[in-house]
Amino acid sequence: MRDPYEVLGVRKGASKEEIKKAYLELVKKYHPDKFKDNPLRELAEEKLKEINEAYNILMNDQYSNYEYSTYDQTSLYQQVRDLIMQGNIAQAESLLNQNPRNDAEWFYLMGIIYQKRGWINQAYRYFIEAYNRDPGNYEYRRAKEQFEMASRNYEWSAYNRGYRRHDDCDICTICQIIACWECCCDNDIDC
Amino acid sequence: MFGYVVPYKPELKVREYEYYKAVYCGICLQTKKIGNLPRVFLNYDFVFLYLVLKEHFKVKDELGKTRCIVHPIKERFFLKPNEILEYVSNQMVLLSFFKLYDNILDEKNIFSYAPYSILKLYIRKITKSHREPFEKIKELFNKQISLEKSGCENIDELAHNFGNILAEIFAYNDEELLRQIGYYTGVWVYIIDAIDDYIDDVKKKRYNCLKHHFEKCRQDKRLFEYELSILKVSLENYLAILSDYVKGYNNSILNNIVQVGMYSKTQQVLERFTTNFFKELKE
Repeated sequence: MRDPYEVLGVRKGASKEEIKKAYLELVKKYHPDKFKDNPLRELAEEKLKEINEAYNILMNDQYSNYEYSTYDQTSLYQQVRDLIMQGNIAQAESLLNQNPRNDAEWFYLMGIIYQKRGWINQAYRYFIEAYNRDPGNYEYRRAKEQFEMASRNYEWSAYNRGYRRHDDCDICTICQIIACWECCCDNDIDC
Repeated sequence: MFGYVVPYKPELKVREYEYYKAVYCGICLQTKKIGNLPRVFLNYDFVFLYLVLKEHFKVKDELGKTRCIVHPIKERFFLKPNEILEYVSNQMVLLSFFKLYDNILDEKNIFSYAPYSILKLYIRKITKSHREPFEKIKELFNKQISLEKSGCENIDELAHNFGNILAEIFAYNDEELLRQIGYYTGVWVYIIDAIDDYIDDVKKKRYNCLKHHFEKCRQDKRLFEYELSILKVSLENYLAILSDYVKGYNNSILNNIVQVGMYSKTQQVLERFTTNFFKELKE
């Protein structure tokens, strides 16, 4: 499940009034009556279900005031790590999402989950966040740099093949233009 | 697909370039057998699909020479039909069908209705034998549309879904490796297309999945550069994975497309985006 705060579109740690207001607005937006005879109806219903779930979680005291939660932090993270090791990504994510915390390790583990799924953009964002919160941690730094490294290696291989910025107007471009001219209606590859 | 998956031409050998064009012509002529209308949607991305499939199944293809209506004067090389080519051309028709379908739902565009109903007939012909993947793609497409309708702000979720569509299209005979290649191509294409369209979409007040990230950057140049660098790193990561997959085929055109063509497209799109962002979006 997604982060309940995100589902309702409120900031982390929002008050109950705020949550309730956001919830009512969303329910109005996705109400099934609005989607009669509409192909999107099923989706609206699904969305509504998600909204209801998120609302119930946030209204439950344990989650909205997570400082008072009875969970033992280290054991939770260990549990998540074990789940990831076992390849049970979905369960690891829902466990993390049920316990939104604002520390570096939470973001790091979330990043791992997204990385496993191939959602690189999201994963990289989480790693940056984890690194920013705790720059001294080797694990977080490595995770973040791993992405930058892959990107740099790829870039380097592109350069190694002799790629130059092609929008410079050099002799090559001129030749190209002349060549294009010659085969006038030839639908050439644009590059 | 949108014409981003192309080789970097100055790096191609002449014979590679000729071959590349021959595949393009081959797909066009193959599609003609289904009908003339879908030929309009032909683009270079499907050559990439053909090359990947050809290398994967080690197909020996032959070239022929012909004149055609677009090039009536000079004879041109074209690829003689084979099973893979037929598959590629079918997929092209399928994708153009969904594109029109999207247009109709999206913009209620009258001009899409006529070609849509014609294409529908073709689709029935094509999907007779393999109904299942078609239904799967349809489902993914519907999900894509509803995600966009609901104003989804998560780029990865959208790109992931789009990647799955291409994975389905690439997965000839349900090969896992092809599925992966399709997936990463799709994810990359989706994000790069979103960046490319961003300024236009904002001006015309259309949906764009990057809005959530770039809306708040209008006044803050540093934040903009930060967001852009994240996108750039992720795009290049996707391409790095893709180029690892493609390297295994040892085909110089494929290497060119992934390592140079798509790289230079990325740079080009990001550069245009950076220069135009603050210039065009002043209120």
